[in-house]
Amino acid sequence: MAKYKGYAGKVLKVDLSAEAVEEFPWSDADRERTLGGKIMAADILYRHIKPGMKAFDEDNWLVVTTGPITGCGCPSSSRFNISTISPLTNIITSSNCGGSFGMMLKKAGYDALIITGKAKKPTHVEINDDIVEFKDASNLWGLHVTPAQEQLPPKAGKMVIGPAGENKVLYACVFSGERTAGRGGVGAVFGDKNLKAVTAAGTRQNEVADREKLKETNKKWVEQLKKHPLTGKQLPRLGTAGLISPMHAHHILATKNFGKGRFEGFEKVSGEELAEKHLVKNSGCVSCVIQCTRRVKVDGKVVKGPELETLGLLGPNLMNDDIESVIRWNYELDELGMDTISTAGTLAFAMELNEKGLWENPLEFGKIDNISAIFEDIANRRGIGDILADGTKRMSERFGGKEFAIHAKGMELAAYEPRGAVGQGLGYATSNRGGCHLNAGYMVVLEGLGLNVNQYTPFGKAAISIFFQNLMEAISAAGSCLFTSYTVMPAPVVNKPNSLLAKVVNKGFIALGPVIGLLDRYPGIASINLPIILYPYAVQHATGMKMNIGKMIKIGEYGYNLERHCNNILGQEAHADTLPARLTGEEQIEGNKKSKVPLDKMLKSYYRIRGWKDGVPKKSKLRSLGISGYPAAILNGEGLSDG
Amino acid sequence: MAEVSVKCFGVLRLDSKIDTAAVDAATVAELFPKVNELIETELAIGFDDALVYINGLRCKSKKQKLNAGDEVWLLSPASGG
Repeated sequence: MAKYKGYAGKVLKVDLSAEAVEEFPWSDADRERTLGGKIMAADILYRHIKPGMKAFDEDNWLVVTTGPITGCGCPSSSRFNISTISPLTNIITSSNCGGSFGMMLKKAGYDALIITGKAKKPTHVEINDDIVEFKDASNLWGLHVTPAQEQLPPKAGKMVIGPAGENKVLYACVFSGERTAGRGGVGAVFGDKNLKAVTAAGTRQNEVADREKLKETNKKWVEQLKKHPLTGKQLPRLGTAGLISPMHAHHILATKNFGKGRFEGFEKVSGEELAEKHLVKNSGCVSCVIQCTRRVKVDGKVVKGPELETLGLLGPNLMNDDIESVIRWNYELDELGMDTISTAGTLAFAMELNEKGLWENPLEFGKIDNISAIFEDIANRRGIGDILADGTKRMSERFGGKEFAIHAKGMELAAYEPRGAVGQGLGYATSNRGGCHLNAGYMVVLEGLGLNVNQYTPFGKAAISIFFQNLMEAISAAGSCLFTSYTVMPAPVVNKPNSLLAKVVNKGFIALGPVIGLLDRYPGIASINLPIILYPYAVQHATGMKMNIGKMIKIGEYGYNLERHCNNILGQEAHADTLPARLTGEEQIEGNKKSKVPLDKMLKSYYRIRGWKDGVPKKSKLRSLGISGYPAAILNGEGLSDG
Repeated sequence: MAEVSVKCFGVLRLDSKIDTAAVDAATVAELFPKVNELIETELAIGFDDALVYINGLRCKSKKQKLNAGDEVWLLSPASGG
């Protein structure tokens, strides 16, 4: 029985090969160390993974985790996480989702679900409180995401894959309702295990440590989110798509396979265009007060509309200014169960390969009439779809063009062109799961979107990136949506970017780099709570665990290092934090020498602050975090180092 | 005086309902009240709080002079996603 409330108290392990279940041990000390979510998942995987283990090995574990505040009435906290060895990157991927599965898993009595083995036939795992059944899902196999979910118990929380997952497209997703665990190919691992669906339902009521205080905190939190210009106005009214215009203005809008940072036709694929001509209404994840999701019509049906990444990467990055095509493609990709970011990145790379004569194929920048058919080919691994289904990195190994193969560690980049926000470039390169904007620390929000910190200077960026990487790691582990973290930016500074205060803050952020670096190294100095940062209060009132900002950053630091260490165990060697040469060696704006990512310069500071050598945590660093370290002798390459 | 083309973006555009407008103004500071005259409702965050771009370049001073045919972007200050 867990000492801490908020948690369900148990971890369920399901073996698909043996059709057997057992409880996986998880202690209060484990809860204190990891909180939950992606850090809990990394901790579980760390106990299991071995060098050389691959995504499609029978004993690769899928680890589905929730956070302590998931299902506790906190705003925007329905999140759950899926971690596993990614088939796209061969390292750990952690994919976060706002669907109802996490909350329902806790109602069934579990904080996490570990799935191992491989089912002999298509399977639906049905969890109902203590009863776990392995059901034949042959009738669901081949179905698109929505029809498959319609066949499942209506009130249960669901995770399903579409045809792309079944056919092991390396960037296939898992869906829960219309929300997606999108990145890193978790859907392909489901497919490899013949796992079409998992559902969870239960009768357990979530207990919390101090209901009254939590209620009070939640009330303040909802008010804070509703009042803040980003979470209360910008996101509900324009969605994340509202970023297209400022990204264009700031030279951050990935255009023509990241060849440029501005797109002439940006207004036609902007959030404003979406809001004025296509928005039916806005909506959001379960328990969310932000409601950033767009609802639009496709063939008369009201469906989820495209988010910023989808709009940017299927629009400007493909030289496409037809917003209706993007709305349709977003729907089609969701139904097939494919990550829109990686699909779009892969198409852009194929288009440039074709343009440069390196691979003759039917894809061309600005040509949109054959894209829907290509999606079907990818999802079913037909014709050139079979090549595209393996993603950008593998295509560059086959056809060349590595210098413009836009990925980090094998994962295609999100829609922010990092030569216009160099701190974001550092984040992409160092992100544990690969080219992800969020795991990167999301520096672009400071470098032009939200605040206006100098977008080209490398100074201070390493320290600030680490701070946000660690903080966001902990926020995610608690079970909260990362968008809630925007309220950390003072509203007067965001609302009045031309004011003296804003100018001081923007300059101050950079000047404070060394101080933030100290905080990165010694999070204990922030063992305080501030009324504007409500996560520690929520965690404490939900669980009874003493919590403050410093402790959360420390937990985030543990998670970030542990995930990196897992990646090293799986074979990721030193010097893996790279970006394609286009982004580090070519000026985005001709004549502007600063418009490229000075990665080496920033990495030097980054590693010094992190206590890593060339991207590998030193043994002393791991020891200081209580990570025992994997025997260096059996690691590939340089492995662990104290040098 | 110079006739410039003003484009609004973000929440500012949704609130002001101004997509594109032609305005006569000699400087950026002079532009704001003129754009304000075009709308009927009072904005929660005014045009003078917008990020300003002239012909695609960031404008950092309200004193900046405008030339006939300039394209001025007014971006709503709140962004994030």
